[in-house]
Amino acid sequence: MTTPPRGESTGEITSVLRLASHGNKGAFDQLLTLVYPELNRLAHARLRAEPVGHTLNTTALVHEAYLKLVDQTQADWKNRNHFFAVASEAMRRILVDYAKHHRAKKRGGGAIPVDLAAADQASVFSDSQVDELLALDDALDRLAQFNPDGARVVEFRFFGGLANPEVAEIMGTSERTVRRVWTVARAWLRRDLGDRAGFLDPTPEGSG
Amino acid sequence: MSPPNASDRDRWTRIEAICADALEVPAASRSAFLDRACAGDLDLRREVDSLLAAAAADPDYLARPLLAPADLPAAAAGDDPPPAAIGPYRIVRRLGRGGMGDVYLAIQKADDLERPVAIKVIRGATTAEVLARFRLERRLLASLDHPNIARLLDAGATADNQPFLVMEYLEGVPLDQYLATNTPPLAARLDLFRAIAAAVHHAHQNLIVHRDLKPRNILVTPDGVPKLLDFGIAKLLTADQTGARVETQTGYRLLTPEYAAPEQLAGGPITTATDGYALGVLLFTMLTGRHPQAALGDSLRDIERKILDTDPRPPSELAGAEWRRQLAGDLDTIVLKALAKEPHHRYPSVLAFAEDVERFQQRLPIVARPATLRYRVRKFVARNTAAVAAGAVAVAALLLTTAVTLVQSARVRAEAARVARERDKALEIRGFLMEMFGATGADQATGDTVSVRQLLDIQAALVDSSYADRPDVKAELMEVLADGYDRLGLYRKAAALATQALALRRAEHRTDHPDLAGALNLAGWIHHELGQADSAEPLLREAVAMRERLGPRHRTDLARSQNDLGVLFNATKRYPEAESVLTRSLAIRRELLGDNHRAVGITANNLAAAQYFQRNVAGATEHQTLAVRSLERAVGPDHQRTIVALGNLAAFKSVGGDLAGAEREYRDLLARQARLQGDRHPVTLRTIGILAATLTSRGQRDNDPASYREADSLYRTLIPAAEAVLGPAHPDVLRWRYRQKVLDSVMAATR
Repeated sequence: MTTPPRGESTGEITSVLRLASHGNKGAFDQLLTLVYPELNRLAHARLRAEPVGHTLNTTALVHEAYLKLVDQTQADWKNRNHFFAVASEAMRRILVDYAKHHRAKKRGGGAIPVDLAAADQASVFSDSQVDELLALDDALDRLAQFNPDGARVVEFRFFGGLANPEVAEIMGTSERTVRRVWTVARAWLRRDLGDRAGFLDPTPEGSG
Repeated sequence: MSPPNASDRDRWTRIEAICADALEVPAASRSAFLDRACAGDLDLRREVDSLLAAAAADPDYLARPLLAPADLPAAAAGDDPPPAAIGPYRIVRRLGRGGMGDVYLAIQKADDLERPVAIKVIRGATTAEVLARFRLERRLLASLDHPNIARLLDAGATADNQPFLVMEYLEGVPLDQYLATNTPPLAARLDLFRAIAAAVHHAHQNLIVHRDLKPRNILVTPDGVPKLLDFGIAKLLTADQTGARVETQTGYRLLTPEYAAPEQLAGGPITTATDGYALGVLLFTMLTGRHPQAALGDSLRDIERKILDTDPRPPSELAGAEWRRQLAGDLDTIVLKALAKEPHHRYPSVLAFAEDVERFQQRLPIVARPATLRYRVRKFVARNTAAVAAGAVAVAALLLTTAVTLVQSARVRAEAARVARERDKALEIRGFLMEMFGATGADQATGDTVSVRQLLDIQAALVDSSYADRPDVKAELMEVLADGYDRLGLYRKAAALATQALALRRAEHRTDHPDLAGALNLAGWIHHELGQADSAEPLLREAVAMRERLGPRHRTDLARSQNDLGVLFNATKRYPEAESVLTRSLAIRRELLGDNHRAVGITANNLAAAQYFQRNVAGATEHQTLAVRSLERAVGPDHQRTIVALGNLAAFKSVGGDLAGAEREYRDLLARQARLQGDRHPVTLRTIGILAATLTSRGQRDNDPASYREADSLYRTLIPAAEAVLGPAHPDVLRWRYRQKVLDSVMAATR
């Protein structure tokens, strides 16, 4: 993937966004390929700037990308939410790629195709976070097979940093529904991933 | 697994609706709601129950965006890096952490000469008391100059005005470790002992009492020279202080009860005879490898009681067979004289003690004489009377083991017998319960639950209706019963009794008291187990605070309260607070109990969890390793606690990326579970599943076909077995099927 020249992409994204927000399915995928490189670039610029152990703020990142990529004179709130929906998925891919890269580098094995601008920087994730993240990514795919809404809500909230009102807006449903879908999807993931921590069952000691 | 289709989605929609509705129903009526909603569909009900359990177990799971500010925990508390330099000394590393300060290894550079030194610095706030203590230690050390005492080289203050001491840096190992590794012969041990005694005598000549003589405070250099360390709680004897009472709140450094003299525990005057007693304990352990009051027991109260009330057995009875004959006779007499309860029955000085040992080595007649029969009878009467007055001391053993006729009034005798019976009953119940639940390790035991419960119910009714005139006995019995109910999982009954006992203790003790602290701890813990964190927390906090105020003699109990409070913090997800209090608890337990103790294993396990949940996997792995090691030695490799700890360790290693280590631990765990519970027990099956997943990850990472093949063959055995035991729709079974499928495709691709 290459980053399109700035001015061109702004116009293109804005019009694709308009299509997407009118329900054009193909426009969504197209949008993703347009948003991904810019978000990736932004994320890695930020990761480079921050010393290890500092974190970056997804919400701020997505907002920044939005401001950069979308012609603000043409944008409305509906476009904005669709952009955020796409950005959440892009963020998931970026972070998962990043984690895979980190793991490959750390363990010195396995050629994983990654499209990373800055392949040599220190990681913002610990090893355990990398493993958790990759396991979650895997589990989300499985969840999506029978509960696509749940998987999307998790993506929006966990990877995109969006809040329930925004998610409700994007999905065209009520906040209450979002909350219900979110809670049960998380429970499923928690259960599914539970045995990563195996017998994690700290035995407490009584006074006896 | 069949491909996902519309029916999977429909089924999920139903599951999701029931779960979400159930979460909006009050907890009390949830079960009835689920009965209605699932309408007898057992698979559905199982699925919903397990999702609700997952939701309840971790309600905040994924709640915060992956990348958000303040996501990572701060560095682990108490692990601040050492300073680069202190004064003119360049710091190399931290050697240790004491109650009030850190000790560093540093390099001193002077006149082209570099030498290693040890620097002791106060850590944290310097209160007037700490400063006074520190200054005293400096003054005392400055006045000592002896080849068997670590030398003070310098003293000063850091840039931020923390005082420090510079000591001779000694390479060596603590005395107990030295003896265990080198197993020197008897003559060499006695020589070592006399060198230590000479150092103590030198201190005494300078009017200094060490007050904390124990193997850990004696270092043996590679040349075999013992060096006395740590005058941290030493005391200067001056004319006016000689008769002063020991302040139990001596502050920061605390005496070690196992080596404390009876008068130290009883708050009597501290003299040179106090160190003489500690040297007696030291010699005893150097000769036998055991403490004179063998099997001291867990609680500080037990230790104190034994030191105060039990006569030590002659060392020859406890020594190895090869030394028994050499010890019997004079050495027995020497050691027992040094261990006399009353200071004036001991050697008049440490020098006299050492000289008697030397006389033995030279086969000369010794000065010590066996205590007379009259002396023993008089002591017995005195102790018995005191016990009756105190009301709660084990008199029964004395009444049974002696034929001495006592001059006692009938009333006192009857009272003593009654107290003894009550004590016996309590001990009997406690012993019974310990045997039932403690020793076997079978937490899920057992067919006899009903009879234990009946026993408790009968006793509870009796206690409730009697002992109105003896609130102390009543409270104690209620605590034993509460403990019993607690072990049976009957938390409500346990809580009711513990609360009543606490009320009695509060009425009896208006101020700090060990029994009150114990009741607070018990009640707090049981409330925690009841899930009532809000009422548990103030009780446990009060127990911790009170035991802190109660001073050095109550450190073992303090560590228990800290542990229990830490467990509460863990349960309420306040991991940094949990880590802090558990770290303190663990330090005390390791210091006082040694690493092979059950309590060390438990607290290390809890601390590891607190660190794990803060994503400090390295710290968690380290402490979990300690937990497993301690529990294996203390309760055995097959105890339930050990097995759970081992499972945690394996999980931490896996999460930390040490797949080879995780694999090893899971195999070990699997072998134990298969042996104990059978290879078809759900718990065993689960471990097989995890081992298979670990092998798959290893295969992926290392591109190792052998790991894949083994994982595949594990799934092939696991899945049919699990289907038979758990049912084909069980989430675990579904997950394993899915994983096997993924594995198959990976294997097909690599072929």
